[in-house]
Amino acid sequence: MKYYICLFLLFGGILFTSCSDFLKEYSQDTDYVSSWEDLNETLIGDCYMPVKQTENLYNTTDNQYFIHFMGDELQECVEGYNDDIDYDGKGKVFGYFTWQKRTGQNDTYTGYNTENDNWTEIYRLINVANNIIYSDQKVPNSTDAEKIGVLKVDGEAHFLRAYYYFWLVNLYGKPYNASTASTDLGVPLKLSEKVEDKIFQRSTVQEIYDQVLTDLNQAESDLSQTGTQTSIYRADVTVVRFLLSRVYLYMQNWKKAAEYAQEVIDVHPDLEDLNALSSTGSFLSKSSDETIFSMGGNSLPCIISYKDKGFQISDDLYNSFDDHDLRKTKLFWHYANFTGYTKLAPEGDIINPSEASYYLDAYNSAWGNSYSDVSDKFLFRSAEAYLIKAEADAYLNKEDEARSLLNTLRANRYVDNYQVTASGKDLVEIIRDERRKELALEGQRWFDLRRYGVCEKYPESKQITHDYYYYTDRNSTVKTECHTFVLESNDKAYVLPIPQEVINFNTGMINNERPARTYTVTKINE
Amino acid sequence: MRKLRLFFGLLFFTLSITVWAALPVKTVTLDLKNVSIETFLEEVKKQTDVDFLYNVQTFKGVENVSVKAVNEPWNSVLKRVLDSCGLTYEVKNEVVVIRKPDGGPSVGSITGKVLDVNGDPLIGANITAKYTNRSDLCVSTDENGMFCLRLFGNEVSLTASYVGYVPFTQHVRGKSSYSFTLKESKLLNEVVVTGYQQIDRRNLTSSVTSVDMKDVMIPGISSLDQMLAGRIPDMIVTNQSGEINSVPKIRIRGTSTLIGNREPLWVVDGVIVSDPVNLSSDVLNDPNYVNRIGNSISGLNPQDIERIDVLKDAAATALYGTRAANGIIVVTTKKGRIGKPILSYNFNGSYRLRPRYTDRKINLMNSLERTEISRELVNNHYQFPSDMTSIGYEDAIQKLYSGVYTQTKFEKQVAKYETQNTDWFKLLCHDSFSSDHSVNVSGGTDKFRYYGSLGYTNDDDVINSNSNKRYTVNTKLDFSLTDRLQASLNISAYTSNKKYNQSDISPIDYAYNTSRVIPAYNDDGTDYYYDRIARGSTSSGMYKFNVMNELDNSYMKQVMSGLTTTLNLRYLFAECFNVNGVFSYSNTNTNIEGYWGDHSWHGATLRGSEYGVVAPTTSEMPYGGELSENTVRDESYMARVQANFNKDFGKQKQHNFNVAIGAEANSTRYNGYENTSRGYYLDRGKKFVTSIPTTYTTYYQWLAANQPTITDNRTNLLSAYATASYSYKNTYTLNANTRYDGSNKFGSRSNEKILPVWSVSGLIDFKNAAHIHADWLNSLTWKASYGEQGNMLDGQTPVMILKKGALSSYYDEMTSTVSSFANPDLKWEKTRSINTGLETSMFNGRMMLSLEYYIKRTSDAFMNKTISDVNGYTSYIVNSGSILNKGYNVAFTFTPLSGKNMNWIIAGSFSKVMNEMKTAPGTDTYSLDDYLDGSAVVKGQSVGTFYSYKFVGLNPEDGGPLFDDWADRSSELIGLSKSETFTKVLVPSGKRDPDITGSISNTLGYKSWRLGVMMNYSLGAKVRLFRLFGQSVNSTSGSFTIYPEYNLNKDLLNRWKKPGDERYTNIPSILSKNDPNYYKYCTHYSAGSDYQNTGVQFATDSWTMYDYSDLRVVSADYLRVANVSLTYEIPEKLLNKYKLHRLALTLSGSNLYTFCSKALRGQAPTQSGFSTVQLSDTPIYTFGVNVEF
Repeated sequence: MKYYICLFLLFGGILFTSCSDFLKEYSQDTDYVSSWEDLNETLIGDCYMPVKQTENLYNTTDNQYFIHFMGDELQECVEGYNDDIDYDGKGKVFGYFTWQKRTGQNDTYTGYNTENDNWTEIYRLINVANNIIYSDQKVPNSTDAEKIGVLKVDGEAHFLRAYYYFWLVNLYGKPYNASTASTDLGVPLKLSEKVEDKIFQRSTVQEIYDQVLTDLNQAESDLSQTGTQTSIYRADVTVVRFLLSRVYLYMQNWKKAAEYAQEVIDVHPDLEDLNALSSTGSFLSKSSDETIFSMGGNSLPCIISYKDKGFQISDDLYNSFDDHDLRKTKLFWHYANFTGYTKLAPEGDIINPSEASYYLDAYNSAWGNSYSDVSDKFLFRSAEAYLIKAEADAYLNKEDEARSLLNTLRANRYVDNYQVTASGKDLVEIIRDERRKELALEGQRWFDLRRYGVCEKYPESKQITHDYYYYTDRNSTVKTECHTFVLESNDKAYVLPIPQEVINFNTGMINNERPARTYTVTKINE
Repeated sequence: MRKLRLFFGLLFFTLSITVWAALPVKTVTLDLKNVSIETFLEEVKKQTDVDFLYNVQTFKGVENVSVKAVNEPWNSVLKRVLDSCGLTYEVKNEVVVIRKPDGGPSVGSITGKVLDVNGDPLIGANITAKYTNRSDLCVSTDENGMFCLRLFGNEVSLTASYVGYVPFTQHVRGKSSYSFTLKESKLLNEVVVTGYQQIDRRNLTSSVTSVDMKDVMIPGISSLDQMLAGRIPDMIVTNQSGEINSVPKIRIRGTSTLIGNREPLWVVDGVIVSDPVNLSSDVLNDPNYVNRIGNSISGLNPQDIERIDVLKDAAATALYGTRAANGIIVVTTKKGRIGKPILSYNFNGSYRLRPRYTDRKINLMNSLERTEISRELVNNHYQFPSDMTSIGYEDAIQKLYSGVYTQTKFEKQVAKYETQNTDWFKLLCHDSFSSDHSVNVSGGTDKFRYYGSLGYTNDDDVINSNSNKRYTVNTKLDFSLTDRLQASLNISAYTSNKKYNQSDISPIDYAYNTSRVIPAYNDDGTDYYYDRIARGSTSSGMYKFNVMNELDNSYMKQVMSGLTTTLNLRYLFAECFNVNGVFSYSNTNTNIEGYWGDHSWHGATLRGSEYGVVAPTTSEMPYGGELSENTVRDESYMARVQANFNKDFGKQKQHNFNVAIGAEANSTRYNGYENTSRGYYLDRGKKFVTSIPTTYTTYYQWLAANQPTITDNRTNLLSAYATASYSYKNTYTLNANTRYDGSNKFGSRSNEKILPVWSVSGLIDFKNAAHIHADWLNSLTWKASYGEQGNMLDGQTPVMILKKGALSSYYDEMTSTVSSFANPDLKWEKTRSINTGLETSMFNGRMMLSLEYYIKRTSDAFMNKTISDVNGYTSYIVNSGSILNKGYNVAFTFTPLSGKNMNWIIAGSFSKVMNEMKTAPGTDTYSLDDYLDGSAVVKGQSVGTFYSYKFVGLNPEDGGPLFDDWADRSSELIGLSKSETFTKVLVPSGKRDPDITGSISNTLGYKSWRLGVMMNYSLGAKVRLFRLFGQSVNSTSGSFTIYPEYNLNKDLLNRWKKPGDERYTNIPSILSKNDPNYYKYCTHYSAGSDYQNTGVQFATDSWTMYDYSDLRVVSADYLRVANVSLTYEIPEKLLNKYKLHRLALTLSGSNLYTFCSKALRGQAPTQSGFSTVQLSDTPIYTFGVNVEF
């Protein structure tokens, strides 16, 4: 009988001693945060903007694509190659392209597309940043390597949070104007890692800018201790200073903008000489000397295509380039009425550029579904630092310095005849014009148009016209009507409305006033 | 097989050790002089290991003894010594009890036999003699069923008892022999099996329904779950489809969770069994999901099942812990019985009838009627959709207009179409024959019993491509190794080969919805193909389609094999105390293979070209077909140790304590591998294309993104549990249960806090308590229970959880993403339940009645709450739900006739469940479709309530449908949320699940004949009629457009045609787009931009609204003749002639007729217009033979 007792005791013993292993939490692929390395992985996996495939407008999963459509850089193609059609994309972007009261307006005025893609994605990334910043305080922080790691994670997360709020406030809030910023409404501010089950209201533009600066200063102090990054896809202290110069530029704090821009130029003075660029070489790439930081993908090669119902570079932009400006031929291509985009090199086999199909196939088809290596929206390169410094210096009446910076840049862009000698308002206008050309389709133009409107010195607000064509039906290349929309100077539509889904949920959230958009109709009889 | 052998080897090793250890030496050698009797006994114990039990008082006044013995059996020595002292002894469970013979000396003995009704001896039956002035004596029968008992008086009351038989007591006076004949007891009356314990039904305080498999067996049905429909009070079994492979949904006592799993747990012989493939609860809870893969008992042959116990209330399920919130179904399989080996063979052959156009439940147009509609449409200039398939009359007239057909050719062609009447049901289904064979052998002695069975089931569904072949083997061995150690070993294995169609093709749905004008074959006998549009996300175009070709070139094949071994050991330390250990291992391998051939239309849509045409460069599958493989291996083991204590105390043994404490470790692991390959040639030796030109960039992109998916899911549970009950004179019983579970589930927080799983319950037997001496009343008991159960979701933690990702080539670093954000405030979901019941048995059990009432309240139920997206995500899980389930049931069994030749038993049940959602979910949680199909959860309504548009009538001008759609007061809808808008505009139509279910069965026996009639019913559910207008959901031209390809409901023949018709019909007219009135109906005002700025859209067009209107909702109440069976037992005389034990022939019919509402217009009450049309219950006729040798 004792034998049995022993047997059962033995068995029971085995059962319970193995208990701790048996109940050890197990999962195929999930884990808790246990070190700064985990957070470091999460930063690139879920906090930097994801790299998305290049796809045509209708299928694009890029939620920030609309930024190019609101300004004066794109227009609808008036013809296409061989009746090729870019299906349904223009309907998707209609609300943005024609500055409708609601951005989700469909082109038949019968319903609405989703409006909150961008909003939701950016707030998701902000929330990840909030959680990383919070968790970063909890991870082991004793060895030197750990200390550096924790600082690096903290710095990058603060940088990203600042960048995202800066992006949001410049889309959904009025441009920064020191006198009204504390009453102008921006976007809701959420910094905690916890779920806040409440109705959110909008913070003021000033509050958002203050937070952006607080975060960037934190990032600067963290990252100044951690050294440089090996990849252009991650932020180091130079990148943070770059963003600071841009933020101060938007705030019209010329002094600080110039200071930070100078710091960037000191570290990263290189400019690409277009005179030396080979005929098939690309201007934008991750290996370019100019590139400092890039985040996310680039949809432009597929958005701009030689198709009916597609989009192309606006004539207004294309014609603004001098013939001796190398950018006109190296950054764009032109065939018949079509102007395309070659800031990124075409992928795949180059066919014969004398054939019309080249402008469709060499770029659009080849780029379809591939990953581009430099972003069309979240890109920092040294040329911009020169322009920021030049612009700030011009306002600060350091005109010599401004002209010198501008000429350094122009020397790399023009065949000849690049020297600028203007001063005063003319100089500022030349800088603004240079900025438009240099940063074309890099997601800056809309924000520049906005801030010129509120610039204390030399305010300037552009009137923009967009044509939108209607066709007999979805499969048709026969146009029936052209509707012409005008964005007036100082138009209220220079501020995006808060997405309707957000307004619906957050009862009482004040929306931006955006007028209903009228248009003129031109019948087309082909 | 190797594994099996290994297992046997291991087992033998274990057993042989125990046998060796338990053999006692039975002789003694003594030389004692003048020692106390106690010293003598100790010496005997030393040499023999025999345990003695005595009261020291017994030896008072007993003189010392001297004993001399050489290798003498200990019992003879003992007898000699005790006799000399005037003492006596008896052996009770290996313990020698010594006492004074207080009733005077023995006056003789009585001998006899214990037999069963067939006259076979019962081996090991107990005979107890009960005296008034001395303690009871007990002996057991030998292998011939004989017993011999010493008598201490002339009068004695003898009781013969045997497990599974009704004990019989006889008062004997002055007799020296008496024989007992015991009747087999109805299991129900004796014990209840909970998986952890066997509880005497008299002491059962919880709610458990027990049924004998014999009573629920429906020949011709091969799985247990389908047989249980309507048989268990408070359990609703709904079958989404009548296909043989479809697994029904089971709900016990309503729905008590919103996000979690709602299915009950299956327990086979005390071991929780897991599903072969773990489907998520979202999938299982989807009311439209048809599970063809199978569940945890798919490999169980119903012929091997002995009984089923369904545990319903918290007191019954508490021992199973958190996983038991939805009830438990305990299956006990057959085991060997003592006696000569009996070989039994069972055969069932079933004939199933396929659906036919002439069936009452099919109400579709024939070719003539359909062509007539087409003709009318053309004459009225109906504007056909641009993406339609040109076919039938529409095609003919187009060809006439375009000059392809001459007038005579056209007329000839139309005449052909009118008489085409393609019988889709005949082409896609057949009357099928299924067979089922099983052989089992059973027998044994009191030391060793065995049961073994082999089963083969070949189920052929009426749908051509569906079948299931299942092979099962099951062995169960019971050993009594010593008087104290019992072991039971169970090994079972099965393989099943299923075949069903790809889910994209639903043959029944196709047959229902396809116009009979479309031919299946050309005149020359070759297959007829028509152009069918592909509306994929990736490709669109028209490709040649023929449904039979499609089925021939595609399949889903599922091979599933499983092995389960269970070892159960029980060691009796004393009569009142035993410890038992259960060890179980099982594994199931499931392989699901899906195939689409390159000849199929589906293949053409992937290829982007017709078969034989070179694929374009944008093709996703330039060559061959597609093969998908999904392999899941489920491996689980369980070990449990449980100590049981059961003892009567008190002078009259009036107090009974029954305590069990146990610990259990449970591990389940799923390993899955899923992969899809293209370029497969099934008919070319199952080869893949080796070189595909790189110009197929779309294919290569697909290939790059198409990585195999590996799943590795491991659940370990470690649990401790305890149950205690106290019973006073079997009259009052109190019981308490509790359980603690710890799990390894990642992020599940069960490790953090003690789990709130516990219950208390009690009962009173009024007959004893109130000393009711009425003979007609056998028992009257009242019981009540209260319990609390908790539930936690996986993956919810107070801190953030990351998901590890692979290397990102963009950064050249490893990446992780956030899997779930912190949810620190989440608590347990709690279900509290109260159960109370009354049970009575009258007139010697000829009338039995039970009533039960329960309330189940779930608080802190998990719900997805919508939050502002400023948080970074739009919903999180909160404990905000509250659900109330309450209900009652009545079950009865009457035996109006009980005689030698004739008996009649009526049994029936009635259960009602009321379910109500007590809190409102987030206002934007559910979409319009969720409201229309019943998946939205609405405060104050039952779970499963669906909403409809309020139909007002037909427009007298044009016959268009009119609704109360708030058009006149739309301003009141402005600014309302989704839920406010939908609940205001739509009307609740009822719920999809019934609230009253039950069955009535009659069993009539006359001599060798037995007739059984089983009917079940369901009341309170509502169903939507099949859509009249919306045949093509994906249409780009409005879902209400009439496509020539589709057949129409006959109801449309009675549609509005001219003003005035609205008085006779409520079927709307068919309006052409050319009709100016068309635009009043084609776009609903709530879809317009003016309204949408301020309000929520709640309709698209009037025809869709009509299909989803309250007019199209009808009662799904039904009474179904579920099974009628007639059995003839060949009389014994004949049997003896052929040396047979039993021969019975059975003829049975299932699903013979359903009484239901006329308003269903032929639709079966189990079918609904919510999703695709599924096969409804098909009549099955079965012939069965049972032979026992």
